[in-house]
Amino acid sequence: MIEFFQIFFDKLPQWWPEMQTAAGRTLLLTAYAFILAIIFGLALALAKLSRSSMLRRVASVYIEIMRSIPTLVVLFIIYFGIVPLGITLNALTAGSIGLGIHAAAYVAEIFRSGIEAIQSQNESFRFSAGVGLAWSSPIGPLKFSYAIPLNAKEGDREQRFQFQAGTAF
Amino acid sequence: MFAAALLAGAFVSIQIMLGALGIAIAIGLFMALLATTRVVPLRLFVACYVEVFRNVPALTQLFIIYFGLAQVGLRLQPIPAAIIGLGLGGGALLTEVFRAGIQALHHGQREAAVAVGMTPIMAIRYIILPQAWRIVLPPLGNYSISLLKETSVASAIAAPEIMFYARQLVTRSFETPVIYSLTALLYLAMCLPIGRLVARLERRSRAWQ
Repeated sequence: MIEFFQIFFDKLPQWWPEMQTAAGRTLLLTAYAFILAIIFGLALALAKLSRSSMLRRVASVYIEIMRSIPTLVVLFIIYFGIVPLGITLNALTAGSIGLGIHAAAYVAEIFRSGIEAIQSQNESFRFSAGVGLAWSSPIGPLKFSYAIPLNAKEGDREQRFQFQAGTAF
Repeated sequence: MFAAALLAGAFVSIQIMLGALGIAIAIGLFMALLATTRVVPLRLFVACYVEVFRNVPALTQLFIIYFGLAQVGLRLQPIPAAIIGLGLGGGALLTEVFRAGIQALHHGQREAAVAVGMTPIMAIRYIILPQAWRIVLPPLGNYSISLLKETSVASAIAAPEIMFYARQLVTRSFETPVIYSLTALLYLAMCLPIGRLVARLERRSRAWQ
């Protein structure tokens, strides 16, 4: 165990520059893959929520496939698999693309559940926009309000004008 | 001819996955129970374990267990090394999952169980765990799918699983796109049924609610 630490501290100065570069590359790769995953994932999520059933199906098949394949396989297909087709990517590019399009499938699901959560909230809430006039008269506060419902559904009871005298505590 | 070798690999992949899943569940459950005790050193120990194993990549863990321990004199075969490595990493993940599941239950549940005369162990066995199971099931299912995919890193320590055979076939035949696509299909064919099984288990445990 002591030997272990001895080697560790003897070699560390010599290894340090390389380790630093490696850590930098890792962070760079993470950043690239993350950006790609966010953009592509958002596109996938929107496709999955779109009205066109074709787009929806394509997006869900893509997500299902990507979620069932190991990252390593995706990377190998992108880096080695397309070489016979005449395309060669450098390792960092291939790594960013592979990690990015793989993570996009997960990100898409996160976005989708987020968007759906908001949409379902919108379903249950009704919104309106309007103006009001309040006058603190000598008798007490008087309020006149007029509002128009924005997303009224069939069968809702609407009230566009409201007059209020006094204040509710 | 490619398929036969890959299928042999698939068998080993499943073996590694089941082994690691068993270890991860055992460790996760044990650590989660320790984490919910009132003894501070135990909770500290669990926290250290979780933080260390959750923040080190699976590949690094496997290399330490396979190559690192071999230098010190503990020589493991690739498959057991992969099972232990992935199991330890998964244990950290599942500790958090199980802890969340147990803590989601009201503490009154345990107190009530003890009040009607159950021993603390009986309370955990008959009251806490059956309810926590329902909460824990979806993340546990997701974990087992990602674990099956993560077995692919075991190819780096020469465990003869799918990815290992795929690389071997590629160096022999140079049919790169075909072989890796086939590999992808094979993983897909293994992961989809697990997903369905988990979904069915979830539906059943919800009906039972």
